[in-house]
Amino acid sequence: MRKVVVTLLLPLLLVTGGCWDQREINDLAMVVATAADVVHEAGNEQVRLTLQIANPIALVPGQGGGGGGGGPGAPKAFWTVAGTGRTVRAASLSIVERIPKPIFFGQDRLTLVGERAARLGITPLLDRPLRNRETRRSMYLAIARGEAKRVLEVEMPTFRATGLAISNLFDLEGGRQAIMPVDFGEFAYNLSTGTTSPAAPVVEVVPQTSISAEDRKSLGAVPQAIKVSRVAVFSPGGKLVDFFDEKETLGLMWVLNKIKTREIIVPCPVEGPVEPVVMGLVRSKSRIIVHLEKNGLPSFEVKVRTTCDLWEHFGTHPGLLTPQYYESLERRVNTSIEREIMHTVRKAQSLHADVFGFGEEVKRQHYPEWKRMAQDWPEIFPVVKVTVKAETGFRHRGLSVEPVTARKEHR
Amino acid sequence: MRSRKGVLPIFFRKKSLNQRASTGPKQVPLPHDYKEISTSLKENEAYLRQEFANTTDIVFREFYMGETRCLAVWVDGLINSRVSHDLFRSLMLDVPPEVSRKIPSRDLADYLNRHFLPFYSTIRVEDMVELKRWVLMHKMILLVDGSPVGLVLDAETPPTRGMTEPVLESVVTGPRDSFLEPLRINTALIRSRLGDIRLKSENFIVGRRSNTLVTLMYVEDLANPEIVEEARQRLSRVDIDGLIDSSILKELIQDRRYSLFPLIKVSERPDKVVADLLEGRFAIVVDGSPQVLTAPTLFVEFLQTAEDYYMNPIVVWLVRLFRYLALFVATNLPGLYVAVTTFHQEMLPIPLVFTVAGARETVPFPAFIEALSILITFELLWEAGIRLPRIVGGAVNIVGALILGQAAVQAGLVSQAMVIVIAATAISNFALGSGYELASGIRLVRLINLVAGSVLGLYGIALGFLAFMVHLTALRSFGVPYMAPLAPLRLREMKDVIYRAPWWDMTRRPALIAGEDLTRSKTPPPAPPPERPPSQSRRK
Repeated sequence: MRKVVVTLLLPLLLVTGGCWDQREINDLAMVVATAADVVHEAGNEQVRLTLQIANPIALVPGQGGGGGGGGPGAPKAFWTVAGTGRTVRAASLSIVERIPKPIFFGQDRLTLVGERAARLGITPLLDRPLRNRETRRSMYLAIARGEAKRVLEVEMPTFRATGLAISNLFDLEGGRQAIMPVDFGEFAYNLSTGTTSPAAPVVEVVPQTSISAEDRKSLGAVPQAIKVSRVAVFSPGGKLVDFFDEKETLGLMWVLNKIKTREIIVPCPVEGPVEPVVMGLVRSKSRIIVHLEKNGLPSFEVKVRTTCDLWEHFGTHPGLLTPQYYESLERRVNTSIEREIMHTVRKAQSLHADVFGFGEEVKRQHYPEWKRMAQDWPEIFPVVKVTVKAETGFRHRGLSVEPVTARKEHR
Repeated sequence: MRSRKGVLPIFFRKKSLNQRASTGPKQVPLPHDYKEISTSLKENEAYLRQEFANTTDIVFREFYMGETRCLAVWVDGLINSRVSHDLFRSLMLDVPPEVSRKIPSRDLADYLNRHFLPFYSTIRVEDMVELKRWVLMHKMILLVDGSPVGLVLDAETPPTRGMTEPVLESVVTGPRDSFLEPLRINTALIRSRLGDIRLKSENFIVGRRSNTLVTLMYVEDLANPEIVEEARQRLSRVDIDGLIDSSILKELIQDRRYSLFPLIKVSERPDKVVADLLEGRFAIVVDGSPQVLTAPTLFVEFLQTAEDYYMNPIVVWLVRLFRYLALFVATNLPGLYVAVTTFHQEMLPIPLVFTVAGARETVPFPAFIEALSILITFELLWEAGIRLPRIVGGAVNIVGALILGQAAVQAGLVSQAMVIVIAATAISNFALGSGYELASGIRLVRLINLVAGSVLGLYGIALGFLAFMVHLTALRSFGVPYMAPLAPLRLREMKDVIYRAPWWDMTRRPALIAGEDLTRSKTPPPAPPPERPPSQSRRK
């Protein structure tokens, strides 16, 4: 009998301890993107936090929004709210006063940091998201050109929230062209090494390239759009140093293995740059090998192995049937890759910014020597010797062989 | 006997068995009293009439065979009238008058039994009390004046319905007959499929008042003698006034007083029972019940169907995977959904989290109450669907579909997401295979998981899962671990758990259940004929 009573009472014990952190899913203000700026307000520097918050009822078809916030007057699916404070936490506290639901950071997909805040030093802004157990380190980090708040305020015609649009872009198109996705944890890790210069992608607000005549009439100004490209480079201490241009970003992405697929435009082996050939990258894998020179300094050998397809031959001449043509193409791709990387290396060395994590590589491969040079790494990095070796394998040339006119001439 | 000696004592709780046996098993079959049949028919008749006083459905038929007075007694309606007619014709008209003169009256009954009773079977009884009982067990008795012997004549036609298809365990391919209420038909259905002389059957009479015939069947060299002995012990321990259905017997003889999970399998399919007998299990047939018990039972059996053994094994593998998925969904989905939406909102992918949150926006209840209310509605619909007369059933369906599917969602009382979750759970509940008992037991598991999930989140679900695992692995069915061959893990016997091995590969019986003969099949695997050299005639 006592056994039965105890067995029945035991589950009640669970109830006394449980439920305290239970929250209904619809009682949360779900943040999908955060923007952090540092502004000069009321005599001192203040953090201004802008949150992009979902309004789920407008996102469900057939409920409330009537098709999901499409028509005028329908509830907006996402809205932004900003607050300022001495710290990030203080800024978000000032937001709490303005929204009816508790803020939930578990679904945050993107953190944007404004240019000014980045230049002043990004480290204090990273502390709250890293310390808080709701926020995920897999969310993306990006640097906004100008104010980060403005990015979240852009209204996109096709995508309801800029924050989600940017994280979507990183998900689907990261590794194409100069789009280099960097997640929060990765950035924080690079920063924590003390020698590596972290880099983060840059988001800009740009005017829309094309708008309908109707819109031009009804809207006074040209609507704005978002552009994600290139990276911002930080000092190992966490201060924004410089922005890479596209070519430099591409060189960095080779070394960091961030490239998924891209076009490499090389001059035609027969006609030269007049008739460019577009090679498509299918696979690429790079490795950094550290050699120790006699003078005690390391030298780096970056090895890139790629596989390419022929995507476009922008020309008329025949001659694509010979193996020599493809061997020549491979050589040209190699040269192109090597040049791109070397260009970035020179830029990084001039900035004293070890964006490649060369220091980390020395640490991994030659730990005893690294202990000696770790202190002086900022002085060593700009003068180390870097060689690049690219190795390209040609896979196939697509469905057609020769340019169409060339085939006629053969007959 | 291989290594059983080493393994089994752990699982057979011998000690407690002996203790229980010492309470003294009832001698079966009854009776306890004994009264010799008198040579005087008058005396016998007086006794019987006194015993059967005030019973209008018992027929006393008195007649003369030549000069000798005879008496037949039976229960009206349980005897085949054509056969009884034969009896009277044979005795009253066909017996030559000199018989009663030539044969001493003491031996007359035996003589008649040998020469003039055209019956399948007769039993010679010398005990009046036993004879009386046979009347109540659907037999016709015959007493002859001067003979101290009673004859029990088998002319039984119990009231029964025609053969029907199985209701709960229906199949697409495979046999379609199912057990009926009369015991004799059921044993015949089993015997007709298993013509082995080693298929033994033992009779027990259970029920002090109902005198229900119970037959224990097993294949002598396949079943484990210890398990069969245990079954005998448990059957003889039963002392109840009436045994109305086999399910009552199941509750009386299973290993535990309480368990959510069925410890003895109930089947209405003869082919399934025969398959169980061939795996070394025993079967218990109860008169008046169209369901036959088989044991020892394993948990995994409830996720198998009869058809699994008739279908392509590759397809069966896939179907079984779905059944295990259904088991998971039926037990966990509501709890998991509530746990994730109230504790772990970050676990959902972005589009899903908005859909769920948006759908819940108008719902006035916490997710737990929401889930509970639809679950209870579903249980009520289930119960109503079973109980209601078929004519009214349609109305329940309409109301249920309207309330659940349309009105509640439109009124914003429950979210679509929750309706879908409960619907998926309900469907999974019935996709479990042959286990209706399991399906009904799982309802409680689901409720407990729901509470655990809504109180402690995923942690609670994990705790609940752990608790049920502890319970399941502690269960035994006639001493055999309920979760075998998963726990204890027996890889050699996994051929019929997650997948079903093709028949040519199922060469052994389950060793925890079966007795000596473990070899099930020696059939070589199917193979194409060896290639022949091209013949001369073909080349032309």
